[in-house]
Amino acid sequence: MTPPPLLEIEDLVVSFTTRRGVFEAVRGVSLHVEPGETLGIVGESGSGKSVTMQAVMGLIEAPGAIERGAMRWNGEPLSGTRHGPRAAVAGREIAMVFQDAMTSLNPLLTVGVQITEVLRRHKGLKAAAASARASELLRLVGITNPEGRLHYLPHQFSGGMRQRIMIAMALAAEPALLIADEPTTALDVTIQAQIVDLLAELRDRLHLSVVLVTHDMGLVAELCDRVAVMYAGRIVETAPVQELFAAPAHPYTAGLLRSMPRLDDSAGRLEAIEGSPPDPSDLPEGCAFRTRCPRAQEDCIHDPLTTDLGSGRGVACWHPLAPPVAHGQEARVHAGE
Amino acid sequence: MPESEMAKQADPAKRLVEFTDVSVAYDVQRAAFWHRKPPPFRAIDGVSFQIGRGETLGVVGESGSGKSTIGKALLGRAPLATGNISFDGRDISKLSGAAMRRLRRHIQPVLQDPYASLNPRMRVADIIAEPLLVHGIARGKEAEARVAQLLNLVGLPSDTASRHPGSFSGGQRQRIGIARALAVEPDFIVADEPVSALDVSIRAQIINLFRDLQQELGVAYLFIAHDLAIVRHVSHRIAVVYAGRVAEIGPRDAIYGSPQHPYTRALLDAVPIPDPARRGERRPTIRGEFGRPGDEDHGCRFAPRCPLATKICREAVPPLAAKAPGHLAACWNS
Ligand SMILES: Nc1ncnc2c1ncn2[C@@H]1O[C@H](COP(=O)(O)OP(=O)(O)OP(=O)(O)O)[C@@H](O)[C@H]1O
Ligand SMILES: Nc1ncnc2c1ncn2[C@@H]1O[C@H](COP(=O)(O)OP(=O)(O)OP(=O)(O)O)[C@@H](O)[C@H]1O
Ligand code: SF4
Ligand SMILES: [Mg+2]
Ligand SMILES: [Mg+2]
Repeated sequence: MTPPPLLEIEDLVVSFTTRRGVFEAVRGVSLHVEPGETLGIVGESGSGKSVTMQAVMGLIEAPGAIERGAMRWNGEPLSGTRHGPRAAVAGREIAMVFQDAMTSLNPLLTVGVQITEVLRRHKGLKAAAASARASELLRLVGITNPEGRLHYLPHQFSGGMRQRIMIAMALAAEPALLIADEPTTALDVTIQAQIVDLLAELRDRLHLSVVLVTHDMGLVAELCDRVAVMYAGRIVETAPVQELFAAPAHPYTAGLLRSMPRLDDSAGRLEAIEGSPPDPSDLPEGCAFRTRCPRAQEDCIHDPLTTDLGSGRGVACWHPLAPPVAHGQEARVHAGE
Repeated sequence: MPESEMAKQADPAKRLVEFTDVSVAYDVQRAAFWHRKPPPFRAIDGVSFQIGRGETLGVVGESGSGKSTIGKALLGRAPLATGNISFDGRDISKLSGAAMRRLRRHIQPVLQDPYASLNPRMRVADIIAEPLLVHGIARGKEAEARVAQLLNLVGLPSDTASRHPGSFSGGQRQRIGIARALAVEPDFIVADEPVSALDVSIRAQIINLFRDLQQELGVAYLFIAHDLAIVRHVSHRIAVVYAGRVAEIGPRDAIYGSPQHPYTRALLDAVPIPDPARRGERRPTIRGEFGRPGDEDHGCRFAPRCPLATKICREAVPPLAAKAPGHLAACWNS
C-alpha cells in the first residue's frame, strides 16, 4: 500500500454569515500534499485560497464555519471543531507564513522574543538554547549579524527582511509542511527573488513540503511541482506544473495563462478573460465560470464534476480543452457524466 | 501604432512634458522639540526626462524609489526644491493659481486603488460628469450625453450611469476612474499603478483599454508600475528610477533588450520566468536592502548593492550619459 499523503483535504466546505445571508467561500475542495512536494494554489482573488489554508490551520473564526469535509494529517484525522483542527498539529507540524508580515508580527516585541517564544512552546528549549537557535534561524534566512538583530523591533527591518523573519519563525518549530500565502506579493522583484530562492533552498535542504498560494504564474513555474487552480470556491483544475503550462485543460486556466503579459514579448493586445469575477454570494448556476467562458454551452448550467484525465490531472469542466495528442489525432475528452 | 514609431525619442516638436533637473523635498519632522530640524528629505533628486504627445513613458523602480513622487510633481501636488516642469511649453511651477487650474484639465490622474478613489455616495454619472462641470465644459443634457459616450468608450454598459460605485468590481471601478479622467479630453494621464490592485484576469482588459484609448485619442501617459512585463506592454519608452534618481532611460526595446545599468539588469534578472521547462535559468540577483533616496550622496546610490562597483562609484555621482541614441544610463562602468 502506498503511504497516505502528508496532508489530505476532502470535500471541504467553509461558509461565512454576512448581513446579506450565508454564502460558501469554499465549496467542496479536495486536495492532497505529498511529502517533499511543493503544491501551488492559484486563482482569482476571493476564490477561497486563503480560507482553505486557514481551515487547515484551524483559523476559521465566526462568522465563518467549516460546514463539511475531512482533513487528514499522515492519514490521521485532524480532529477539530467547526472552526478547524486543534492547534497541536497546526503550528507545530504545519506552519504558515502570511501575506502581510507586519500584521502577523507583534510590533511591540523584539523579533528575538517572538522567535524564542515559538522555540520554547514547541521545542521546549530553555532561554539560552532558544536564543542561540533563534540566531541560527535568522542566519538561515540570510539576516546578517543575527545576534544583534534579535533585539530589533519589527519596524526596524525592511519589508523583505520582515518576510524572511516570518519564514524563520515558521521554521522554528521544524514543521513538515510550510504554507506560504502570497509570501512575496508586497515585495519588490529583487527582494521577491531572494525570498523565492530562499524557499527553494530551505525546501530542498530540510525536505519540507510547501503549499504556495500566489497570483504569480512565474512563481508557480519556478517553485511548484503541482498546481491547483481555484475559481469561485472550487478547484477547477489540478495538474503537474509542466503539463498545466503546456496544455491547460480548464478554459479559466487557459485564459489566465494567455492573459499574462510576458517579459520577453511586447506585441499587440493581451488576450483578456472578458467579464468580471462573480459575486460569491450570487454565483451563476452550474459552472461558476460559465458567464465568462468562451467554450460554454447549454449543459454548463449543470455542475461539472471533476474528471480524472490520468497522470495526476483533473478538471472540472464539461468542455475542457483537449490535451495535445501524440499522433496528430484530435482527442475527445469526455467530461464525467 | 507602428513599432518604429514606438521606439522613437520624444520629437522636440511634439514634446508635451519636460522635466528638467527636478527635485522634490519633503519636510521632515524633528525627532523631539529640542532637536535641530533635520534637512528636508529629497524623494526625487535631479530628475530629467521628456514625454511626447501620444507617448507612454513607463516608470519602474523599487518601493520608495520616488515613482509616485514624479507623478505628483506633474500633477502640481509635490513641493519642488529645484528644477522646472514644463507642460506644452509652459513652466507649470510659475503658473498662477487660475492658470494652474486651467492646466489641470489637461493632466488627469488615474490612481492605484479603484476602491478608495471613487466617492461611494455619488452616482457613477455624477462622478464622471464632475470634471465637466468643474471646468465648465458641459452640463445638463450635454454632460449626460458625454457620460454615456465615455461609458461606451471604456466598455461599460450605459445603465452603469445611475448606479453607485459600491456595486462594481475592481476592474469596473478602474474603468469608471478612467472614464472620469478622460471626460475633459486631457492630453496627458498620470497612471500610478493603475492595475496593481486588480485581479490577474482583469489586468489584461485594463491594459488593453489604455492602449486602445491612446490609439483613438492620442493621449500620452506616465505609467507607473512594479510589474516589468506590464510596463513593457504599455510603454514606448521606460525610465528606471533608483533611490530618487533616474538610473536609466530609453526606448522600450533597448531597455529590455540591452539594459545598460546594472540595476536594470538586476531587475530584469529577478523576474520569474513563467515557464516550468526553463526552471533554474533565472540568474541569482543582487542582495541587500532597498536604496533610500538621500543615501550615498557622494556617489552612485546603487553602489552598495552593485556587482560592478569600483572606487569611483563611491566617490562621484555618475552622470546620466547617452549609451546609444536616446538611451541614457547613470553608471560609471557600463
Ligand atoms: N472573515 C471573513 N468574513 C467574511 N467573509 C470572508 C472572511 N474571510 C474571507 N471571506 C470571503 O471568503 C471568500 C474567499 O476569500 P479568500 O480570502 O479565501 O480569497 P483568496 O482566494 O485568498 O483571495 P486573494 O487572492 O484576494 O487573497 C471571499 O469572498 C472573502 O470575501
Ligand atoms: N508627503 C511625504 N512626506 C514625506 N516623505 C514622503 C512623502 N511622500 C513620499 N515620501 C517619501 O518619498 C520617498 C518616495 O516615495 P514615493 O511614494 O514616490 O515612492 P514610490 O516609488 O511610489 O514607492 P511605491 O512603489 O511603494 O509606491 C519615500 O521614501 C517616501 O517615504
Ligand atoms: S556607477 Fe558603479 S555602482 Fe553605480 S551602477 Fe554603475 S557600476 Fe554600479
Ligand atoms: Mg488570499
Ligand atoms: Mg507609489
